[in-house]
Amino acid sequence: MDMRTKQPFPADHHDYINTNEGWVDRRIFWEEEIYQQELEKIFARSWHFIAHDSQIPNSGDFVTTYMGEDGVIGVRGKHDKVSVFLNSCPHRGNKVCFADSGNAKRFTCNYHGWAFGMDGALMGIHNEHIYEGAIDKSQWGLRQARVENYKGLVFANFDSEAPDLETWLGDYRWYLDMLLDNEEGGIEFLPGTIKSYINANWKFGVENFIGDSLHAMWNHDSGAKAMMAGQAFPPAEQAGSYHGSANGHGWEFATDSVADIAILGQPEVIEYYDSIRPKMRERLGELRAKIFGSLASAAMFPNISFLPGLGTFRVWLPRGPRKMELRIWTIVNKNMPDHIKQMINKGTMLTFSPGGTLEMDDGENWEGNTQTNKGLLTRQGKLHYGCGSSSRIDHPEIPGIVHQGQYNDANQLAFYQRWADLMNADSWDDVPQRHEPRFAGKPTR
Amino acid sequence: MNKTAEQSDHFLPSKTQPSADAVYLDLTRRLHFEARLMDQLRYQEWLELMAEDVIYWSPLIARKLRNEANAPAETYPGFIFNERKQHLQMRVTRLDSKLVWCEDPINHARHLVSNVEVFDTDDSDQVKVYSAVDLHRSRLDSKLKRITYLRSDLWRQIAGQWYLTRRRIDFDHNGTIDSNLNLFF
Repeated sequence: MDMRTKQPFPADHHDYINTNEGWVDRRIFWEEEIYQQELEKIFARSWHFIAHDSQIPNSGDFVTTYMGEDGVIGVRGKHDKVSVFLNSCPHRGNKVCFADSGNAKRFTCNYHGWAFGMDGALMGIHNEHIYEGAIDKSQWGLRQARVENYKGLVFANFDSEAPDLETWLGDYRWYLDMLLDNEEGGIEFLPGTIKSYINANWKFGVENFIGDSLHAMWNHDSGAKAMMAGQAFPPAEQAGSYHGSANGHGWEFATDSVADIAILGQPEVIEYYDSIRPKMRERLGELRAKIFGSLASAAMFPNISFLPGLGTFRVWLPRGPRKMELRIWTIVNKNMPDHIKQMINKGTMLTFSPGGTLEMDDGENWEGNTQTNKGLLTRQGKLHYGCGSSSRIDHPEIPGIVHQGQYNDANQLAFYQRWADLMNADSWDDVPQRHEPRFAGKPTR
Repeated sequence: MNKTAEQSDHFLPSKTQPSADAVYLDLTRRLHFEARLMDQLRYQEWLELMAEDVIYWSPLIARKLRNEANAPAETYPGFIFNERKQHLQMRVTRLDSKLVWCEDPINHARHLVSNVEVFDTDDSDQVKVYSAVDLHRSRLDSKLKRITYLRSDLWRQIAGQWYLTRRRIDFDHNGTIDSNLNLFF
């Protein structure tokens, strides 16, 4: 091991990750310098989740969130057009909206009363006559992001050069359709956002959901046994389970249809999904109807995660390299009866909220993963990511980079490879395509 | 979606008649005893203070503009906790299992219970009880967390003893400031 007191930062970010030997450099979870590059090379160029259509159904409905450390407002304006713009007044810089969500006709800065419309344009200034025409209001609106929608999920991106959302998602749409399009009517978000703050690097939340099914049996033993009358987490079958990854997005899954749904502890929800399963087969095909609801977890690059079937959806918003803000919602199928939606809400809160019997086991691990790296010698070390290193397969149906067995580090490494690809790239032409896309220009359902 | 029955405004007193001093003292003692049971991790004994039909819940809050909010923190049908006795029992079983790795070593907690108000209700066996709690939590590596909240309770007298039948917990934080809520409130 290199014992120099100061290791130089490598110019090539692939030097932080070794997919052949299966390790990751600890410094990517700690160093401020690397974090600042993440904000520039990853967060300023990625498509970010802003809201689901169901959270802002009417004209004037808005949410506030962050793209990296940049605060933004997402709002449905006139003619159903959703705009996303920076939440910072171009006069002195204050936020123009401090609410989490709501309905507004305009956003007015508290400091001098500059007022912005639903499209982010500067509409008026308090006592504007004092300026005597010294401002061209058309030039001083709030900075706009590109906005695109995939099956109800609203995404935004400030990079005018970035590929469109469909290209960004790529073959991952094949996976995402299981979440968003498993029933007529699609999904909706239930009202309310749970926020919590964890003193951990944002990537630890993402990598847990993108591929770490292995931790469940040990880490969640207490919750599993308490909820399932003393029974431990059932081990997964490596034979019928997979890691699938495309463009850094990942989904680890079994093919038994019900395990994640069963964790909700609501038998009627299992019955509901059983009842729509024949139609799901028609919509998504035999294989995807078997994947949805199985023991699974998933994440989208850079910082979205969800448990398909269990109904928890979240983003890990970075707050510096050593802290994140977690925002959680419950998602349900829009056409479900109300009492089924309520049961899913109950189940997700009981398991995956800051007070959830499973979630409560996780946060402190990620804090430990992060904070130990304060130690100089500690962060000179590597972290082992070699589980399943020879499990890559070609699958006739499953697109992207596919590995056999859900106990695997494959998706995590593919996520870090995408991380390095973007950290290295000065332009989008420099970003390599890591697999042959099967659905380029084609719908996935 | 509509509010479910247990999320109705049970916490608002229909009467504003303060209870007799003896009842006030009884309930204050009960709250302090309950706090000590929680702080000493005597969870099974704590559970015995719960009525069979207890509902223990905490609504989600959001920062809303004043003209949209009926109260400083508008409530939603969403919740962090919405527990019946069997859920509380499940949580106690989990915490007592010695398998909750992040509670080993023990994280010390202190519930400081204050601002106690007790009101009579239409039901002579039930009282409404408000209390404010300042919860200190000392985590690993001397991490100190402080969480404050209002509790709006209904306590029911059965055979001369008081049992908790409803508890609504309103946290004063827009976001949970700890990595977990591995305790009772």
